[in-house]
Amino acid sequence: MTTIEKPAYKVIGTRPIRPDGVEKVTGKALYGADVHLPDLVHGAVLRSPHAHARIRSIDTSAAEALPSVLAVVTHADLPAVADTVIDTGEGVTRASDMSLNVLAGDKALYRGHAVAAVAATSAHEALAALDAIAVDYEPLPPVLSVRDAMRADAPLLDENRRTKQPDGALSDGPSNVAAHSRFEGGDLEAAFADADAVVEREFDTKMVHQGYIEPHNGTANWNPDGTLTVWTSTQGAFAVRAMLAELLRLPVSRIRVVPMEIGGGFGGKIGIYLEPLAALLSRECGRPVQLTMDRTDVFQATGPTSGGHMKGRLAVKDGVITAAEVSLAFEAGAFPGSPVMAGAMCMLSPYDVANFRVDAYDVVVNKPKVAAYRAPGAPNAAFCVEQLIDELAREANADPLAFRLRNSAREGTRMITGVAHPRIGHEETIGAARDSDHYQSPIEGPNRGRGVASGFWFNAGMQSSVVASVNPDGTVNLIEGSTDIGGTRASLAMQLAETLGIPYDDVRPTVADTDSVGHNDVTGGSRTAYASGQAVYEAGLDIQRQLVERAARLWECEAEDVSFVDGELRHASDADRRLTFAELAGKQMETGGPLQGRGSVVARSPGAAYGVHVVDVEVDPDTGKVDILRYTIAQDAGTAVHPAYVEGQMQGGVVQGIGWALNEEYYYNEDGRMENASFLDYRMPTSLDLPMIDTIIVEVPNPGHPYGVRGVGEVPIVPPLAAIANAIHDATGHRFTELPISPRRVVEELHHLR
Amino acid sequence: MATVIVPSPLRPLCEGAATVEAAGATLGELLRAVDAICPGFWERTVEDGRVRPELSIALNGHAHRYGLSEPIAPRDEVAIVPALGGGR
Amino acid sequence: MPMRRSHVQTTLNGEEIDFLCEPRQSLLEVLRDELGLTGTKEGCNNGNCGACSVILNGRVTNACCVLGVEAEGASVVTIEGVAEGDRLHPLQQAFLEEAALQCGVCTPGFIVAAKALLDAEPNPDEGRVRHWLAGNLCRCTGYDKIVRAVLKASDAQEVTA
Repeated sequence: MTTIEKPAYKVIGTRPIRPDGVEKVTGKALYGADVHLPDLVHGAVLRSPHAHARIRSIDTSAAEALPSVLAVVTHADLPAVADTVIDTGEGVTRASDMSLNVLAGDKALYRGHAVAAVAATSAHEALAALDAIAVDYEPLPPVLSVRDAMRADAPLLDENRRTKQPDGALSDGPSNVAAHSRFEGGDLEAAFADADAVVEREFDTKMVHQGYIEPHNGTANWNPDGTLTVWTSTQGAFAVRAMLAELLRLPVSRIRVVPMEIGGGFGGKIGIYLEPLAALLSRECGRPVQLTMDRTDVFQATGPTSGGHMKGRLAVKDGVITAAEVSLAFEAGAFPGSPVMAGAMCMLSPYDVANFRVDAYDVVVNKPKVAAYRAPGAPNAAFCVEQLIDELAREANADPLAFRLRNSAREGTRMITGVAHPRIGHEETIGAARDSDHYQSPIEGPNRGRGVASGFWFNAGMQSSVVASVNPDGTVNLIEGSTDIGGTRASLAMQLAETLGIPYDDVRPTVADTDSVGHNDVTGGSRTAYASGQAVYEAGLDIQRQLVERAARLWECEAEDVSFVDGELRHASDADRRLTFAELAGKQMETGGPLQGRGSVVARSPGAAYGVHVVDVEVDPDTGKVDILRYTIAQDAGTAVHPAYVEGQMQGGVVQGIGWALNEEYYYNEDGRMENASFLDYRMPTSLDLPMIDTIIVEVPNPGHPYGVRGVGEVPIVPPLAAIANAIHDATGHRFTELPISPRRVVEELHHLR
Repeated sequence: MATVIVPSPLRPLCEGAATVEAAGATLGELLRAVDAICPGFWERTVEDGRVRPELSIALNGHAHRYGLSEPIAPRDEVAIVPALGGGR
Repeated sequence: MPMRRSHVQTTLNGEEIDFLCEPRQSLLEVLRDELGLTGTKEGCNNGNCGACSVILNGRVTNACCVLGVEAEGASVVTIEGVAEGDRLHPLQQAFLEEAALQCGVCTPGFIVAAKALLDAEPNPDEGRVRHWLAGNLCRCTGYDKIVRAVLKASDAQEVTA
């Protein structure tokens, strides 16, 4: 659904087959664990069984003495890091926190925290060798929820940690609250006093995992001259390189990171876990070392996203949301850095609310250090705000979509940060959802209900760098550095083909390693089609300029007399003088030599994205099972470069949200052990749990991109938690404020069993 | 004169003001000018010659890690926001 | 300590082969580490995700739940055996056309499992497809396009049958 006169694109908007597709459907594509090198050995990681413990000593001598063991490392083998923060593109982390997370120092801070690593003659031997490492732990009481962590008498993860407060000062005493931030505007008390209705609730969400099917891996070869090559499944080879450089105290130029194909990331494969261990082991034994995680380690020792506690109070007057007071406390895991700020900034962004106060608390607990998960923080915050908005709409006797439309943010509306929205598409997206066949159809039958919710994500810009080499036959090799997780090779090839006026099949994209292409920030933040697309566009323009000069040279005229139109060079006044792209490409040698275009951008205007979801559910009052009957997602994509992959992002994000809403959680016992650390009991949706997911692509072009592209990957996961809760409320009259809304919770709450 | 949007935590430095008008040809000059009006502002926003890593600058609505040498035009709007990342 | 390796003879993708493996190695490990066939993926190593789906004696099986030595005298079909030379199987073609893969790591498992379905039941409906594939987890696509691809492939096979 386009909202403006859309240019007649030739390639953009079509659905070609992705260039890496055949290798992926035949099993030939190489993912990180598929790397086979000469003399490769395997390793294993010893992990803390305790959620919180002092590590008094580690004795590796027995392991080192085993004939099959080639190397053993602990935190003592890591160099001391600088007192600095590393910008990974997913936020900033202290280098010291990263170093201590990779291998525990004097404390184990979560069950699964890496304590030592070994390399041995086989993967089985490496696992067996872990038993020979003796660790002397002094178990400590663990803190397992934000509320427990924030109590005055809570055990402390770090006795030196004090709370960074809104005014910038540090708290007097130590705390598990790493930071407290606040946003304020308008006159909150007056607005509440004057309201027609006020709704107020508390919400609880649980830690959940991105759930990518491919576990983490890392293969490293350390040469005697101190050069290091790392093969890994990562969302960002340059981020990995920067982190390794900090942790291992190596110059960046000594490290080459080769991004292999990646089996899902969703933000969880930006941080590093195994790569530094593989590097240290390789240095010690002089052979390339490969480490892979098993699924239990993935759950316990990578970067899930925060659970947390939220309190929200909203007011309405004359159908207008006049006040919002929200407090969010998110689990950061063992080290600071939850996405509570992002959640705080997104949750009111679909609306124009004049009076607000938002408090955001970043709280450490004895759980794995959280990492980004698709619009980090926003789904949790939306679970709170979008349900309160649903209640306000009911109080105001308004249709929930009409209520959102009435209160919608638009271009110029200021977010709680004070920043004004540029051109955005919330209103258009609401309209698309409202006009959908789904929303226009009645919902009938007992125990059935319908819910809607809006969602927002900023989308990122950041840096991308590409080179495009024109071949003498008129085809083009595009060298880029964005890991392809969901079809970006195709999207970037399409954007270059569009820019050059050549067929899509004539562009051959390659994702290169860190030695072979300029800096590229992560494939994440919904940035790749937007920012790498912009770099590709610049490279295309660069080629056009050079072609114009070369044609002018051939035709012995001025460059101003030559234009590049529809993939052809044309002379301004002589209609006989024409050259196709391929013809001029064939004359490279005699017109100046090898022809390359370069695009290097800092993309500054990503278009924010809105999604509006409609879901119908049926709730079985006896078993508590919630069935998704029908799901429609409307989302503003700006311009959909490859509609099938845009739809795929929408559907995938929705289904992750469905799992998060209905079943997924880290289920901890009181000792801090995750009791459901397998795909059997960490219950993600299967094909049998779902209907088809209907998608409506809205196109409000982003003025900041040459083709109007907005990021699409993250916003789809923001609305489902609230949309489903709203639907369940519509079906049962009961509002669920704690996730997941599992069958057990439904039965317990509907039948007042708790 | 450019408009600087003051985030809630820093408003006490500006006697509660939510926006401040100041002049500067670059981001660095602008922040210095704001510091003259709101003492302590520079220290809270700049460290080691660059914007603090936990902050982003939104220039006319576009958030990014601008350098202090970024040119500022009259009537530009500069907001100071928390730095963020993404997942996907 | 290293174990004595067993000698195993089996039929892999139609070809009679043999290999050595330790009794503790799973069929998944044998395929990937001993035979260099990395198309079959490890997702969980305990039978819950289907990324390691192979067809063992005609049945879809998680290779992580089978020992390498159990392949003795059996017939094993992996993703590498689905295409015929440079002719893609209709499922592979349909997955490409329907954009039924994003990261692609679950794709080999799905194609093998779906091939077993279409070999047994050439004309399944959506519900049957969803039920059959419930043992294969995908985290990227939400299954919509995968189901469409399988249905499209079954139609394509009907046309050429």
